[in-house]
Amino acid sequence: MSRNALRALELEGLIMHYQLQDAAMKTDLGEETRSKILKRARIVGQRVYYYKTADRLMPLARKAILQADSNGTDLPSGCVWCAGSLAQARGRMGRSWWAPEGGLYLCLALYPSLFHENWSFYNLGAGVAIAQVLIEMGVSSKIRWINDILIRGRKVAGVLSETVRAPRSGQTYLLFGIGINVNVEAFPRDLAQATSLYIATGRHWPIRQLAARVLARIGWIFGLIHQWESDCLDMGSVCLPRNPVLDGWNLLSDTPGHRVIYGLDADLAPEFEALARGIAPDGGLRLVLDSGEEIKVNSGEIRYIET
Amino acid sequence: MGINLNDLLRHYRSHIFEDYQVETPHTGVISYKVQDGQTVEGPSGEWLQRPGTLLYIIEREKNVKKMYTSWNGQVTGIRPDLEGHFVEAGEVVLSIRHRLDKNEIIDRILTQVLNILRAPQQARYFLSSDISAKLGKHPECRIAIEPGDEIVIMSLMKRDTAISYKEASGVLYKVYFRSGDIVEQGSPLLGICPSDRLQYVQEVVQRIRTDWENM
Repeated sequence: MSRNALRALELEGLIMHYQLQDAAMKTDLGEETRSKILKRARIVGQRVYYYKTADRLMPLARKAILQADSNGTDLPSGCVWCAGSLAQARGRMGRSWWAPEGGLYLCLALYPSLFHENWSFYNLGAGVAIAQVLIEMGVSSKIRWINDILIRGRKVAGVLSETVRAPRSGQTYLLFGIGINVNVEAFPRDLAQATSLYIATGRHWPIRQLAARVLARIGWIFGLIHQWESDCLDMGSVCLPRNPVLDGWNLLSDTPGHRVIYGLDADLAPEFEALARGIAPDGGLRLVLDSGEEIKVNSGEIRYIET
Repeated sequence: MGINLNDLLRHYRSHIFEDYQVETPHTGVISYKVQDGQTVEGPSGEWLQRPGTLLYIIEREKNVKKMYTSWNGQVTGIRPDLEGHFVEAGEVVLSIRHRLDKNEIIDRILTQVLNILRAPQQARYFLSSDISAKLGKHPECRIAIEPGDEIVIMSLMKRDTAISYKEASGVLYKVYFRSGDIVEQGSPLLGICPSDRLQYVQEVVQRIRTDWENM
């Protein structure tokens, strides 16, 4: 067995360990509910592919989905691709994401089984999962809408997602690309707004454990949001249960109350300034313009204006 | 082809105006800021960032909302009985009579001739990198589009979804949005002209340009 395959197996085992740990900690949930959520959570990380280095992970995942489809099968939901470093990583708007050794680089492929109008909660939930894990590890982090993770105003982690449709089977996959700056000791000058766990805490962190904890928590949160959707259907419109992703986001985000620049590309093409009021029930961001008018945005990005 | 150009031109000559009904977005007390017959202007500026003419104000529990026109035209159908009164959501409070210009006529006819790809939901849209690169190099070129081609990327909540073309093969004839625009659900994104109709479409456009000058 290759070293990469061994690492993949090791990560699968660790993910399962943290999934069971997460479930065991949630004593406020009934046994039946907990077991349902755990069942969904365990989809994540059923199969892991590890690479010491790769160009980018999302194209690898896309290729695997299309390959399986052309062979007449479906790639199972919950597959994870993990790399020790990426040669051609990028963020949104084609921005470069510096991905040297010492970072955590993941791609997760899932069948989205929430109603389409609730897919936003996958993206928000991924951010909530990362922030929760970092905080439990003692690192004070905050979420900036939608799912950027910041430490003292600097970005330590980001999540991208794409939808991929297998042409023959018609199966849709959501791909989540996750990058966390873990033990990166310095950044190029053009990435002045980036930080790492090492820079923020002054110590090195175990990357595989962190990967496993983040993936396990993403699975758990996705399980929670599925349970919420199912409870909403059961309860009709009488008394809707609280949305666990929005609750988690509200607890961990410092966006509400910040004056922000908004834009498709808030760095290079800012569109307007506004006051962030909070998150809307569909995950959009409520902004108050200088005219006093309140609007909601569901795309684009924000940057904080420091006062 | 199924389209008679003469019939279409006759139709638009006799229906040169379109009436847009303006409805209240929610309940509240309304106060008109325009009068019947008044000319109003739609949003302006490169990004349509300047709102159109203020039509009315609606106030609900001390929250005042200003409602602007989205179209150029003339105000019709003001309802004096509603002035200063409480109205329900969805109440038609006035209409805007908009005179179609030549390009709007062409657009309306093209939507009947081209295969139109519409926005599946309100989101930001981008041309696929392949099409974007080709148009960047040769803005006037006719790009061949095949069924299954990923032609547009929809971006919503940091999730990118590639949208594939599903109709018959053709060439990209019209792009209805600017890369990165927020497009409303159902609005046209791209117009694809089946190859066998291309010459006909060009004749249609030329005919309208000429005929409309003579009206």
